Amino acid sequence: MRVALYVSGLAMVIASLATSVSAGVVSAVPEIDGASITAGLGLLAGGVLLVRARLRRK
Amino acid sequence: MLTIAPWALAVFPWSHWRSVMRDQSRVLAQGITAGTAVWASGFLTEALWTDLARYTFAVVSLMLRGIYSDVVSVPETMVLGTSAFRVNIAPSCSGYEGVGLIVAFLGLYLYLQRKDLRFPAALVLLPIGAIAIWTLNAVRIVALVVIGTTGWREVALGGFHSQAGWLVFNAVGLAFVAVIDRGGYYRHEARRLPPAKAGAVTDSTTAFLGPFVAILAASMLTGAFSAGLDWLYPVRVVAAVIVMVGCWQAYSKLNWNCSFTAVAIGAATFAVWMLMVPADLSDKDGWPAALQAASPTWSALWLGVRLIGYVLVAPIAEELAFRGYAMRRFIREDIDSVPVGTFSWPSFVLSSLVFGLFHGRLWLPGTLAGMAFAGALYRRRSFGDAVLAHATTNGLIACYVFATGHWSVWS
Repeated sequence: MRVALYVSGLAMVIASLATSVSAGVVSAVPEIDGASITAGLGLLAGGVLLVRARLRRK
Repeated sequence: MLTIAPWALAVFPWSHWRSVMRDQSRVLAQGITAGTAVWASGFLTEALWTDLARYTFAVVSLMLRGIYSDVVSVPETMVLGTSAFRVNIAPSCSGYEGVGLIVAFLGLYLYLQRKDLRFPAALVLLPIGAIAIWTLNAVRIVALVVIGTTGWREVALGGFHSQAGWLVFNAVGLAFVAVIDRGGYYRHEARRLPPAKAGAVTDSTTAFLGPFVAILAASMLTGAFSAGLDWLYPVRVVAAVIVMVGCWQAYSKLNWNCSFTAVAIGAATFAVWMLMVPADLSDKDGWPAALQAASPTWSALWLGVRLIGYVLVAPIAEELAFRGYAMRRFIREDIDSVPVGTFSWPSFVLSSLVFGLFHGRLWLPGTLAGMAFAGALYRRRSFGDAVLAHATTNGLIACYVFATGHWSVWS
């Protein structure tokens, strides 16, 4: 029963997220494109980890 | 906040969050302070945007006069370009966004490395970084005008306008990280980075994260020189394959056994994905027309590489990055000491969430897909199962796209 309530609660929250949060407005930004923020910051984070790992090997 | 709070409580009970807040109170306070400072600085600097835009306008104008003889320059309306192509230097194009980002990034990096760096000498990197990115923003605008004037108007206003800022920011940020971490003037001699374990041919970070970073870098680079259909998509496939071939010895230690259950998990993930994909996705609706406009051979070749990339290369690269690297990195910094497939709630949730965020608007189905692929890995600690589940989902999405013509589903 507890597990069923937990799963149904989680499903309701996910459904609410799907309808409200994912409907966010994406606005065009001239210098730094907000729509590419994940790729941009992801590349930076991955790049930092790679650069530090490569420098450790030298 | 009202949405995020119940979501957080659904994932972990209140007692868990309370203990996290108690144990990590210092980190939370630092994060809230830093976030508030960045948010407030945005308001404070907004008033200076117009002035900075005038300096940017003057520098870009000077650079363009060195290239073209027919430069159009209207300071009153901030319109600049050539007789063939002109742009408006909006206040938000002035370079403040890049300056703000690089100062925030370098400030955070210097703070995290504060024990190993020489202060106040290292602080000089902040103004140097700001000047470097402001200058490169001017070069970016010049390049945009050059591309537009050359006849590539759609590329200039499309991919280049969207991606060049991020490319410049990443280039400057990573260059500064390399300078700081090389251990020269700014780092204490006794605080050099610790050496990697002896005997390893390739470090695990490069082996697991490298292919995905190569895809990201290649997609940003090719995206900057594309408009609509990314004709240079094969570049990212080749980039990922080159890194994977260079690191193949690291992958031979993984468990590549596959099972039919992984196929079932992939098929179930496909079904959930299709249920959650918004009906109004239309960003790739122009693909069929672009493919038909090209020669049949080139279109078929491009589609073949796109299919290989989507069904084979991307699942391997993404599983290496998220289930092979991130999942272990969220458990311990030294990922080599954590076996692939080790379960912990935080690493499971966080790695899946980060995976989802890389799917943009489809972040929620992406997160659930990440959880499903992680589940495939946990079941038998077989990395092959995670890759097979991922490849099955992508393969079925590709089949759906070819069968229905709904190209925008192709993430």
